[in-house]
Amino acid sequence: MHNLLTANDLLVIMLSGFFMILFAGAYTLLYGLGKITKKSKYIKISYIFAVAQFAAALMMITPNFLDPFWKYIIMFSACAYLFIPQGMWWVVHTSHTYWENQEKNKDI
Amino acid sequence: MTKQGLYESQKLGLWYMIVGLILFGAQNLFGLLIAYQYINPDFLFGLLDFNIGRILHINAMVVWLLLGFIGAVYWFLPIETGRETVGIKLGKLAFFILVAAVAVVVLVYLFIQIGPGNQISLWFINEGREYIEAPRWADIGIVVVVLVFLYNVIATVIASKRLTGIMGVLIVDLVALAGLYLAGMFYTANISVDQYFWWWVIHLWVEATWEVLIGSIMALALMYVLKTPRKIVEGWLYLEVFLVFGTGILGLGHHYFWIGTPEYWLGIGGFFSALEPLPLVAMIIHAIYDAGANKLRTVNRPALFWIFAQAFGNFFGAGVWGFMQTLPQINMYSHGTQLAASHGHMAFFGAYVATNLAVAYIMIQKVRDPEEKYVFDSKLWKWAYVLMIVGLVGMVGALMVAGFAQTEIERAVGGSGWQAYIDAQLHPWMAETMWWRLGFGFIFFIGYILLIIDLLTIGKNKEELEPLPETGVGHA
Repeated sequence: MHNLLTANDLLVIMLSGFFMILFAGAYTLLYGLGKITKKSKYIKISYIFAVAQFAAALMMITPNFLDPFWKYIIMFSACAYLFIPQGMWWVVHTSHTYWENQEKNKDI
Repeated sequence: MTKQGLYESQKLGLWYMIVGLILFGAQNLFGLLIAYQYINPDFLFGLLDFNIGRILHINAMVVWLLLGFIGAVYWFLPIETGRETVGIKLGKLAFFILVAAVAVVVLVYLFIQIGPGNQISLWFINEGREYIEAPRWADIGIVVVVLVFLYNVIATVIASKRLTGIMGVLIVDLVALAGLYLAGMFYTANISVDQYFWWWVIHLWVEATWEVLIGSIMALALMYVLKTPRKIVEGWLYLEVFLVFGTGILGLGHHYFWIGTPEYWLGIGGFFSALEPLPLVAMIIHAIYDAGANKLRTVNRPALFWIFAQAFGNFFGAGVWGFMQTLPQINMYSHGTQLAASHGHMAFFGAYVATNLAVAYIMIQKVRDPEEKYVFDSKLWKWAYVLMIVGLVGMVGALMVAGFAQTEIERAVGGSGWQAYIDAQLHPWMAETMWWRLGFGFIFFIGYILLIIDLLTIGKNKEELEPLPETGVGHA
C-alpha cells in the first residue's frame, strides 16, 4: 500500500534527488583532490559527502511513495556513486601510467 | 597556408567561430529582452512579442553552438590528418550559404514573424517545431551544408590515409547527427507521432550525438592544451562514448512520459535517465587528474579553464539539475516549468558553450602566436570567466526557485487550474526571481562583452606574455 504523495512530499523528493547527485559530485571532487594532492584530509572529508549522498538517496526511498522498481534504481545509483571515485581513479591512473611508460620507452 | 601558418581549413574554422560568437551575443541580447518581458509583458508588445524573442534566443543558441562545433572540426582536421581539407572551396561556399540563410531566417522571424497555418508558412516562415523553427527551405539548406561538411571530413581522412580513433568516432557521430536532423522534417497531423520524432532531433542531438561530438573536440583540445598523449584521450573517448550512448540514447524516454506514447516509456525513460549522471560524475575524476598531473601547466590558460568549466558545468547542468526532475513521479508536476529552463541554461552552458569558448582561445592563440613561443594568458579573460559563471549560476538559481513555485503551487497544490497558474505567477518565488534572473543576465552579458574584448586583444602585446619554458609544458 502506497502513501499518497502530497505537494510537500514532492518537494522533498525533488530536493533529495538534487542533493544526492550534488553530494556524489562533491565526494568525487574531494576524493580526486585528496588523491592528486596526496592529502588524506580531503579523502576523509569526501567520505562525509559519500554518506550524505547515500542519506539523500534514502530520503527519496524511505517514505512509501515509490514502487520497488524505482527504489531499486535509486539504490543501485546510490551504491554506484559510492564506488565511482575509486573505480574511475584506478582506470585513469592505470591508463595514464601505462601509456606514459610506453611513451618513455619509445623515447629511450 | 596563410602567413600565420594556418591551413585554409583552419581559416574557415575561424570564420565559423567568429560568426558563432556574434550569434552568441544575439542570443544574450534576445535573452535579456525576453527576461524583461517576463517582468513587463507590455514591453514591445505587438512589435516583438515574447514568443518571437524566445525563438530567436533559442535558435541563436542552437546555431551558434553548431557553428562553433563545425569550426572546431575544420580547425583540428588538418592537424589530425596532416593535410589540407579536401573540398575546402566547397566548404567555404557552404559557409557563405549558411551565413546568408541564417541572416534571411532571422530577418523573417523579426519582420514577418508568423503566418497562417498552411504549407507556405511551413516552407518560408516557421516550421512550427519548438527549438528547430527554421522554415523548410532553410532545413534543406542546413542538411546540404552538413552533408558538405561530412564530405569534407570523410574525404580528407580518406585522402590522408590516416584514420585516428578520434576521427573514427567523429565521423560515425557526424553521420548520426546529420541523419537525425531529417527526423525533425517529418510531418504528420498526429501530434503524438510528430512529437515522438521531433524528440529524436532534440534529445538525440543534445544528450547523445552532441555529447560525443564535444567529447571528440575535447580530446583534440586536451592534446593541444595539456599535451595529453593520444592513447590516453582516445581510451577515455571510447569509454565516454560507451557510457553516454549507453545511458543517453534510451534516456530519450524521459521526453516520452506525457506525449501519448505507451506506458512502458515511463520505466525505460526513468531507468536510463536515472543512470545518465553516472558518466558525468566519472568525468570529474579525469578533469582533476589531468589538472593535478600537470600542476595546471599549460600553453593556454583561458582554454584550460574553459575545459574545466565544461567538465563541471556538464555535471551540474545535466547531472544535478537533470536528475532532480527526471523520475516520472516528479516530472509529472515539474515538466515545462522554469525548472526545465534552469536545467537547460546550466547544461547547455556547461557542456557546449564552455567547449566552444575553449576552442576559440586555442584558435586565437595560433593566430596571434603562430610559432607558439608564449604561454597564452591575460587578466581580462579571468573577469569574463568569473562574470559569466556568476551570471549563469545566478540565472539558474533564480529559475530553479521559480520552477519550485510552479511545480508546487501551480501543479501539485493547484492542479494546474487557471487560478493556480495566477497564484504561482504572483507568488514571490516566481515574481521576485524574475528580477534576479534579469540582473544576473546583465552580469552574464557584461562577461560576454569582456570575453569578446579579450579575444580581440589577448596575445597582441607579447611583453605581457610569459615565454614558454624550454622544458615545455604539458603532461608530466
